[in-house]
Amino acid sequence: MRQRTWWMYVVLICLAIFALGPLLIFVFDALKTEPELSSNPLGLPAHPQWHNFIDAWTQAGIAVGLRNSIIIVLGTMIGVVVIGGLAAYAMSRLQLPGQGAVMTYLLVVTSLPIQLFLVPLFFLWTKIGLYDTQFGIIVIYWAVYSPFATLLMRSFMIGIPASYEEAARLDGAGEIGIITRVVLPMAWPGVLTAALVSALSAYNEFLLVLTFVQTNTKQPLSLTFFAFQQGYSQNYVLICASGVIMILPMLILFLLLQRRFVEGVASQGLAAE
Amino acid sequence: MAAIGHVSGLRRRRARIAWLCMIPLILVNLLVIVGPAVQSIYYSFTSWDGLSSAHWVGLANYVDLVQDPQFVQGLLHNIEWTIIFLIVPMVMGLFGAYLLTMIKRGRALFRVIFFLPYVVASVVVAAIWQRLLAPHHGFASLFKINFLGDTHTALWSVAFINNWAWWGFLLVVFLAAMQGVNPSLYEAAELDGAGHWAKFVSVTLPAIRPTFMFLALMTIIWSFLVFDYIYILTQGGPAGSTDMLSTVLYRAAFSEQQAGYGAAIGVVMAVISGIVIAAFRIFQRVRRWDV
Amino acid sequence: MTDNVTSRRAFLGLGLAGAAGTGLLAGCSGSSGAVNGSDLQIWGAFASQDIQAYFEKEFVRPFNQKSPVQVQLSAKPSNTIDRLTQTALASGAGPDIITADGPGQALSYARSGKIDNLDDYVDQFDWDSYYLDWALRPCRVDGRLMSLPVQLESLVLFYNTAVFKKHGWKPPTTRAELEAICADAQARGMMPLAMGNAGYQAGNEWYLSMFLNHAAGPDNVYQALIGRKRWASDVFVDAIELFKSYFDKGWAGGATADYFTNLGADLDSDLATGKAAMMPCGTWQIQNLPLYFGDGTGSIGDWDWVPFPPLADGVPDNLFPLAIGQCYQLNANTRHPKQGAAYLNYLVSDPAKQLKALSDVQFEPPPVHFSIDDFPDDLDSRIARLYHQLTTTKAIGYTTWTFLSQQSDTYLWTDIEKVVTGQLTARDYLSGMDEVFTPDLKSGNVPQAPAPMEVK
Repeated sequence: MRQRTWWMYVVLICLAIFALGPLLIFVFDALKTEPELSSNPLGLPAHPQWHNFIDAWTQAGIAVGLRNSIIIVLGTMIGVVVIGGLAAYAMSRLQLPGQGAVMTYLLVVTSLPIQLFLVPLFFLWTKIGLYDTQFGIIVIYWAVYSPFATLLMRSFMIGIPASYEEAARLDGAGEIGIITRVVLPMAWPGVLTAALVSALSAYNEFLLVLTFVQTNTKQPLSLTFFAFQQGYSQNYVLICASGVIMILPMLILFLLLQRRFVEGVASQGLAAE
Repeated sequence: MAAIGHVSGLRRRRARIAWLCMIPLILVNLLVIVGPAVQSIYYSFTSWDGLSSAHWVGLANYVDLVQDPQFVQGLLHNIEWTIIFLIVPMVMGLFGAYLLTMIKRGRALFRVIFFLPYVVASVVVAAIWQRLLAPHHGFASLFKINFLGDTHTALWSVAFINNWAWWGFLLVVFLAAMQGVNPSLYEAAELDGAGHWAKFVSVTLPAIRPTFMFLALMTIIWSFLVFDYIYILTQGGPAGSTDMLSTVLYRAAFSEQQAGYGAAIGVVMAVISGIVIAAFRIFQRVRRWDV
Repeated sequence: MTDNVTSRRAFLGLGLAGAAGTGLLAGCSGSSGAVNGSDLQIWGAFASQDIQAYFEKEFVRPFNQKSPVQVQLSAKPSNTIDRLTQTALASGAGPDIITADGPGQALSYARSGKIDNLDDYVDQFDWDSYYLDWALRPCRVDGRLMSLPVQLESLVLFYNTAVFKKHGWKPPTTRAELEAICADAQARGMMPLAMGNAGYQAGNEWYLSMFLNHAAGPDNVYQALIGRKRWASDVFVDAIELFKSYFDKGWAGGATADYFTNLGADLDSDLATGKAAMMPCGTWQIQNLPLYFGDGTGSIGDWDWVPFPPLADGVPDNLFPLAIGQCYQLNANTRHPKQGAAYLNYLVSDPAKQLKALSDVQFEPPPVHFSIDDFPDDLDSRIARLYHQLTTTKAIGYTTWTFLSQQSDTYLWTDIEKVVTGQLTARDYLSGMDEVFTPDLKSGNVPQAPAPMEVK
């Protein structure tokens, strides 16, 4: 019954080469010397120059950028999950009155271009003293990323059968109990996805943090890398190296969360039976 | 009597808790987005240059806008972009996710690989592909076309690069949705003699419809907001061939010191998104689907 | 009932704790802008961290050692510093010392009312005689001095000495000679003129300025700048069409499409390795080019420069389009205006020190009078020759980013791409320029240009 799947593997491997190839070339380029870069742009490095990473680390100011990125990402992620999770719960399980209107509102808000509110927001942030603070940009990220997270988590929470909830209520569970024992475990993949997406968005975000975080010692890696690339455009090898360093934290985070994600989905599948 | 009173009291209490849960979202939303957006609407009716005080000009900005070739060109490019992104990454994501549900081994590994490009920051992705598509010493030199420099290919090239970093995300979300599909539905379809395509159309697609519609809607909306890759790779050039509404807005507000005009563009962008969403909601209600 | 109340409280508690925790995590906010603090803050953009360190060492620390008010430098990426400055100024914040991208931008900042008038300090620091005759004129708005010019720049033609020797070329002094070299270089598979705008789209304005001045002549450009001649006149149409013809022939960075993807660093490398014959560019290239020549870079020969040749009859030889690359301004909201002005003066004073900075890190000096003694011995002779000629020249031209309003300059460099790719005719393009420029001139947004013969 599961014969002739080999062609699927072929297609998948082709897609994998498409996805992975350019990244691998990038990593290879990070390990080459500059002359080797022009003569051998696509292949493996002859003698891996591991010190490029150290050079890039110091020259691009990565330590500071990394610390700032972690602060901003963690703050954003926690806030978005809490804010969005509460709202998603209200909209899916608590039958929020006016739900349709709220959903439309959230969709509209997600579609507003950042540039629409950028300058007045800048005025406001300066007045209340949040300009050039990491907390300030985190709050902006909360506002920008929570609507999508809410809608995403809600679409996962909707699928949970009401019978589970009723059973828990009959058992005497309060609101928090229902959330922790029924909703969260079943919507866990959704929550995780929302957390991951908001963390990634905050980590890679560029335009907002550029405008609202002015001091170099507070800037995250996305700005550090961009500035480095603009300034050292002739030393492409170091740019590759610093780019690779920048990718690593998110990659590790994804790999860690990814396993939990799979477990969550698997247990949901089991519970459904 | 007492039972009914208890039920409606419960409903009211639930409604109260519900609204309480919504407070953080609403608060942060009003502060950061709605308040400033309303101010921008005000500025769109002025000739504000972003620095000094604003002078009221009524609808002048909007009249200029409609006649501005840059604006029209940007709008057309956004539409082109939307069409591209409703097709290419969606098809790739659906197809890839479906294949992954069908195979036995390596699913986790493939999923990680496909998602990787999405994890990479746009600045880095741009750096990677700029190198690869460089006309003389890049991989693309084989084709003898300057992908990012030629006005005929620039937009598609930027879309290609953005797609490379985007389709993996769609795949992962589709995969999660597909994995929630009851396997017995597939077995039943197979017993009826359905092949892969039929299974996909009759079982998978309907089952993931909420996710699919949601992502399609978000794709349309985000296609009108696209900015990062255009800005980093071509700044709207060459010769305006990759100019999008957001780059036109950006240039007006920050290079040409026409913040009022830029605000008007922003308002128009929001209105377009609003129309799309409204159409979607009406479509939903007519077909009685729930996202 | 009690259960729900407690759980609701717990909910809110969770949320608030999360927010407070993040606030603690993010640390204290620190000063939000030196206008409210006790420093003098200056924002600057530098080509590299070494250059930034040099600026700190030579232009910040010595002042701080002698001054009760301390200066603090905050470095910004060069491609975003103006937007950061603009949004900061718009909200009443921003640094005490503002770095503007030239007189046009300085003018628009001045019109916002957020910039201090520097007339009070002109006599105190004797700027009128310190600066070159033409230098302060574009920095005056409604007669008041609103910025101090720094970074004297121009546009010249760079070339590779070894490459020229190898092919028997002489640095061109006429249009015919220039075009002969271009044709010959192209025949040999080289890039005739190393031009490109990838990474900095506004780079179009450099090449445009060259052609407008050298093909239409500085007199005509001046007439257009003061509104006595239309941009859509024949002489400018011819200049733009000449510009386009170079693209059509494949001389401008290779095929037209290549122009849009040629990165500055690659062009520099091409000139150094002999893949490109000549490079018409700004004098700031003296900062970049040396990095590509020398041991271990794979380069051949060395770089040198000549004035860009006149492209039409009646255009003077040794024509240097003038540019002021940067202006310093004083924020009207600063707490220390007197010390701010003193720091401004410090930044531009001491000609020998300015030229030493030119020698050390290729900082472009302000447009002031230099005497022969000011030039340090270890200053590269090519650079010394450049700045000697620049500060004594009689034939001046007008670069678009210095002498146009921001809006008309932006129009100029964005729409030229349409001309070059054949989507817009030269005449329509220049008509469009008239439509943008004329109202700007009327509302006083165009910096004042010195007349061509005013230079003594």
